Amino acid sequence: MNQIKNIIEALLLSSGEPLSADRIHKIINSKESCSKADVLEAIDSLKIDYENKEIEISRVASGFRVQAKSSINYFLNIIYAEKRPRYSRALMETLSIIAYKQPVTRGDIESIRGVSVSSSIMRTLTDRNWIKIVGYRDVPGKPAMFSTTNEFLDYFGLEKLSELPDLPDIKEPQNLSLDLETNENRPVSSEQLN
Amino acid sequence: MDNSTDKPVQAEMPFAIVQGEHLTELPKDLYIPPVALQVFLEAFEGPLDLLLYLIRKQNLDVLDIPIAEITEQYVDYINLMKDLELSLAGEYLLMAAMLAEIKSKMLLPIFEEIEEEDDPRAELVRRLLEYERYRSVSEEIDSLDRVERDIYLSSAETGNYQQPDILPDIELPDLVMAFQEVLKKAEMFSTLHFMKEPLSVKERMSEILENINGKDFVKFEQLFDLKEQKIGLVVTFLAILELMKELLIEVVQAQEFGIIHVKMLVEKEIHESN
Repeated sequence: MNQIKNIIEALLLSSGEPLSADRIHKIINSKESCSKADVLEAIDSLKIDYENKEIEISRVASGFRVQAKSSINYFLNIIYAEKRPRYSRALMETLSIIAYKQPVTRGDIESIRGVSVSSSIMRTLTDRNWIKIVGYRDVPGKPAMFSTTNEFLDYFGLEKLSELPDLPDIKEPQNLSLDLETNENRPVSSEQLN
Repeated sequence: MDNSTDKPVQAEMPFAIVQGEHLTELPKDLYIPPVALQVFLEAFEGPLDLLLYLIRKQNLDVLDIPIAEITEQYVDYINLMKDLELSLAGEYLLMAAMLAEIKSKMLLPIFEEIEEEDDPRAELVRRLLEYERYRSVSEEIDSLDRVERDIYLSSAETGNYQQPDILPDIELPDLVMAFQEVLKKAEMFSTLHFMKEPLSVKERMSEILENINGKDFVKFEQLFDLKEQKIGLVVTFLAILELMKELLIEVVQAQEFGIIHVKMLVEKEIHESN
């Protein structure tokens, strides 16, 4: 058991990408006999080992990874001060629309943002593997539909899409007779507007 | 809805204060470095963003936009951009047209029968609210912990670990291509031959086996006698294929498009097949 634990620790540190329990199980089982429960148990045991350290095992969409605890971010920020990429508001807005409304076409994004979609932003998002084409909508022109990827969730330290911040509710305009048929389950706010 | 200019809504915003004097119009000879324009352009992410800014800045209710007022301010901004000789994205002009349309619709008297009809602002309000949802959530996502900024991944160097070389499989087309090379080279040696040589694939197979027996690897090309006629080269090639089929030789390639080598697979009495 201790042996398996040590192997898993080394795998997580040296794989360069998050590893799922299934994948670890398959890798180790190709030589040593171990069950998936053994893998999970070993990971739990590693988590306990790390309690006294400044690294931790976190679980993201693609699996488990080892990362520094945020308590030492102060120091790490000094090391990485100059390497941090910045993302524009336009990119974050585009990414958000894809994340919450997926699968979406460029046209969907354009109609929400009111501006044409920047090709360079779509390229950056694709190059970073945060979005991918998941199909083509069956309308004239057959536009590509985009969805976010597990790598996107990994990057933001999330395991599931549902962990994203809640999309704010639409404020119900009572003094305007808006077309509501398409969205029945929107909450009707009771507060007096105006 | 008329332009009541005496309302103390908002004084024209000065661009700058120079020696205590408010400048509301840009000097005609003002030099603006191109970089500055870029910053200005990027201030808003589009017409919806600009409209929301104008509305929020004045604490107006999105659900009851004073269209005349907002339209005026919006057009002011667009004119400002024109003054700066910025090329405006078409979307901004489209929005200006939409605002003007809404404004004109609202000036029309409302008849009893069509009371239920949508407020002319409805579509705009819907779009503004929808855009605002995503804009605000994108700010939240932007502030989430993320790799390269708030999350630092731990890793260990793999030390002496070396990835094993995985040799590519050889497909028949590769072999054919290699053979074509041989034929090309042979052409350089081409002379006239009148003697007819008796050629047998079986015989050639034995020759090849003899040739490579005991050697580690032999280059594919070396199995061919370039001085031979084309028919002889073809026979050699057939012999190689035949030997591969009988699992007597192995053909390997160290890397994609690299040199192809031939090796004896089984130590066998080679004269047996004669």
